[in-house]
Amino acid sequence: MTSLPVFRAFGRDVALETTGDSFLEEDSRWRLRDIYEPALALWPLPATGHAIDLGAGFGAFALPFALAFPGWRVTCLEPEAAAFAALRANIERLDLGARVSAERLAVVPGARGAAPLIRSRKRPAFLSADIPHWQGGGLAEALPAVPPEALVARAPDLLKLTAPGHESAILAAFDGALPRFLLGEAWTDPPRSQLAGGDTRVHLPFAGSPWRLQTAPGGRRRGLDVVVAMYNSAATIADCVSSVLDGAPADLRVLVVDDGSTDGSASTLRDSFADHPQVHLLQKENGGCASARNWGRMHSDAEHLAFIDADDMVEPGFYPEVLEIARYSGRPMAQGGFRPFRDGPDGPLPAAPPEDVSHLPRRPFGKAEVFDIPWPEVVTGQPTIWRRVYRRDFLDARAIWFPDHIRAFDDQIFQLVTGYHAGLIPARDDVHYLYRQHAGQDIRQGDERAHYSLEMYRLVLRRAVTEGWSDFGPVVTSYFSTLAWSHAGLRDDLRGDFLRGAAELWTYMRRVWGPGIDRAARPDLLPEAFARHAAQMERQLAGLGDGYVFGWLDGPALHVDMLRADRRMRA
Amino acid sequence: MRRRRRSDAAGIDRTGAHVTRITCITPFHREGRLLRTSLDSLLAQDFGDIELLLVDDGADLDTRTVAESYRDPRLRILRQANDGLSAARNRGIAAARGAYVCFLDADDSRPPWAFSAAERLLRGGAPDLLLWPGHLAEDTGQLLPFYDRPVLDTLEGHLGGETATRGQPGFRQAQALALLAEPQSANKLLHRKMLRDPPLGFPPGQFFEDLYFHALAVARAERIALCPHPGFTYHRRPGSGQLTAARDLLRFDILAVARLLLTRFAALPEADDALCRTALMLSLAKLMRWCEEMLSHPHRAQFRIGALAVLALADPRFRRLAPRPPPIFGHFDTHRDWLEGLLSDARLRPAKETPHDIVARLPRLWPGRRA
Repeated sequence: MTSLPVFRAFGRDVALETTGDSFLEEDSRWRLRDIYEPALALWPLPATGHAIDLGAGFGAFALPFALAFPGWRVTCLEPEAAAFAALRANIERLDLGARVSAERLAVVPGARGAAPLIRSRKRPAFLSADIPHWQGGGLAEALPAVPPEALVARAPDLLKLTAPGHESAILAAFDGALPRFLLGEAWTDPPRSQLAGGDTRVHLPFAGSPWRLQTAPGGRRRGLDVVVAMYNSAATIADCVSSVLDGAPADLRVLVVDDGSTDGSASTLRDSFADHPQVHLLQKENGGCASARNWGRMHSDAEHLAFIDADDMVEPGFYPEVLEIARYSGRPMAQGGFRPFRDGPDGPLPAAPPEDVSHLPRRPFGKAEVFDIPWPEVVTGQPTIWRRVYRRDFLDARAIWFPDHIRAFDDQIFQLVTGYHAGLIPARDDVHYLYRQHAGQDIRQGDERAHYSLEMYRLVLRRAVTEGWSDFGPVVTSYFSTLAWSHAGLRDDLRGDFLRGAAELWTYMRRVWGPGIDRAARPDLLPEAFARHAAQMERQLAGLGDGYVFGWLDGPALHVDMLRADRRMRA
Repeated sequence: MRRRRRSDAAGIDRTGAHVTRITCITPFHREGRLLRTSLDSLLAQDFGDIELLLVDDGADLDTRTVAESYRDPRLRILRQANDGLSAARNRGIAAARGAYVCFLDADDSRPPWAFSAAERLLRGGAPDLLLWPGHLAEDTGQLLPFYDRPVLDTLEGHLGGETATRGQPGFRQAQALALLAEPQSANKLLHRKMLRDPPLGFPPGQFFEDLYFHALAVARAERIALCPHPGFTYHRRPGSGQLTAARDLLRFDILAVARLLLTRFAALPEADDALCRTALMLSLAKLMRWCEEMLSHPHRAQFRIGALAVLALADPRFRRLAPRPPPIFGHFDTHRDWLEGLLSDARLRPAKETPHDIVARLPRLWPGRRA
């Protein structure tokens, strides 16, 4: 007599009869070890309950589960004849007939009793009732099946879900009242994350990738708060908010922070959205964009945060779609695409070619394609913090705030610090943030506020030293492109002070990181005066060597208020 | 209890509206019940024409609850994300409505006579900077005059009850003595105009912000007076001087503050006065030396390099100290020794006596050049 294969799970080794299909055997082992066991190791299961194992196979999950949790009743559903026979045999041999029942049944949307199902030719595990869209059609096969509603009626406490292609339909059938524990995997179509919520603990990896649908109730409110910093935006605020609400699920809220507007922005907003349950108006004294964004965050109780500018818009469903990859990946932040536009006489005109991300490898995620952006690309890119969704606990744990006292360019430091700490940023570009470009933008004023950039890069330098950043090169590259861009738009009389301050900070950066950092620098983008100032500082500091202490030096040209005061006194 | 006297309401602005006399700015963060120390003492002042600005600097719930438990029309709360003490005070300055502005930290206090005693001097000599002596409450319970009482006694003797005025004899000496005073944020009242034009505030994001603010306020003052009656009590709390790894690096902020202060001070006429310069360098040396001695050993070599870099980048005039300053400067002899040791470090290159901001001064030589 040949010995039966042994399956190790939930603290015991269980010998089980299989169908003889070695792929199924190995696949079952992998799922036990990589999906089911880690989740059950963590979850506080009550002593008794009713579990349904949907797609039970020969019982690789159900039987070790029944042995490990003796107070639980288990129902196994399995349509395939061979697997069902092995399942029955296993139940009998382990003498679990009192608690474990088996039914030869598939759960398929649209199933009509004994009417034949269609089996996909390409992916034989995929069954359908009558949906003709299976690629290449398939073989009709008479398998007993019920629609998801029949499953819902059994009201299980735990559901183990192996139902390739039907995960979304089955979760949707529960209509918000999911079993308390939901375990399984999703294959081609990741179920919308809104289907999992409430008090349900969910662990549903997607197609064998590290991405998964997961919930752990008890923390912050499961949802996304989109913070709008509004200052004198009466003309655009309604379009902005309604674009966010277009196609938004109920767990998305818009927090509009009125930063002391004087143009009636708040009443414009009230006129349009006074009764909208998802729009909240917060009013405060004027304090600048950074303080308004922080204000929104301080009043948010959501797991995820996003920040939209009051003069911009998004395509329908933009934030929910980015939230999907934020939730599935669990990463600190996730990103969507963006399209700059200008207002034309007949509506928006595309303003600049979209960024090129064609070099990043893509992979499917449901109907979308996703890719991962390494942090140096985020850090060296244009500040686009508004097209990202952030985990609130990440921002809190890393103490990343917009610096309240910075009145312009506050998103630069936010991008640098979130970018570095996020590491790899999951992204998709099938949905877009619509970024309005106009002459009145803060960043185009060419006044002293350009020096806020210098102060912020200094803050990042000091932060990088204390936090031990592995690489500062991307920040330096970003520094030089920001310098070049700011200098080009700067008023003539401010350029001298700006270059002097820029050279001073660059000298400190070099002294902190050593000459190796020069490779990331682009002094050629700047006028020769920059190099002259830097050389002068180097002469003054000759003999002192390099060291992290230079991350703490400073200069008045790196602070807007001091610069303004000095200029006023000089005049 | 409000004891607002009619006669205090003399401040009237151009529109005929009443101008609050004194604004006191108190940031709070995680002080909890200790916040009551400052608020109770401010609300118990026997001078009532005041505005109390509380700045919530990302406070915890306990502290916020304490702040919100006070119901007094003179009290206003501003709120910011945790952006630091300096930014919080600056936020207070921007929102202040009083003719004069002062600061009090959340766990410090003022004696009930502080504002009325100051007000008599404000009425009399119309100073734009008024200094108070203070008290020190040690964590052992010991009560003492604040560290700088001898300096302020000397200043009191020098002023003889008058207000020192820029351009008058003795003004520079008054400035020098004021620069020697402990740079405590609670020890002064400033005319609000002085903070506005050109702007004067605390350096955001940095500790030791008091030194920067104090020195520039003294250097920019037109009329300086000293209140003979103590106006604040500084409370040392158990554990407040404790060194932790994270707090250790905060002491490096003194380097930034020194660099900012020396650069900005160099542009003022006070930098040409040997006594003022010496007083500035000595109070700077006192703080830098304290920081160096409080640092954990692995950081000290770097700190010294930083201190040398500050001197290397500073205007060379700051390397020349007054050879024979008045006797009160003798209190700072140990700090002067430390500073002179730093100045004679072989790594510090001798400086040429041309101010490094010469480029900024050039346009004055050729006024037509600014096309």
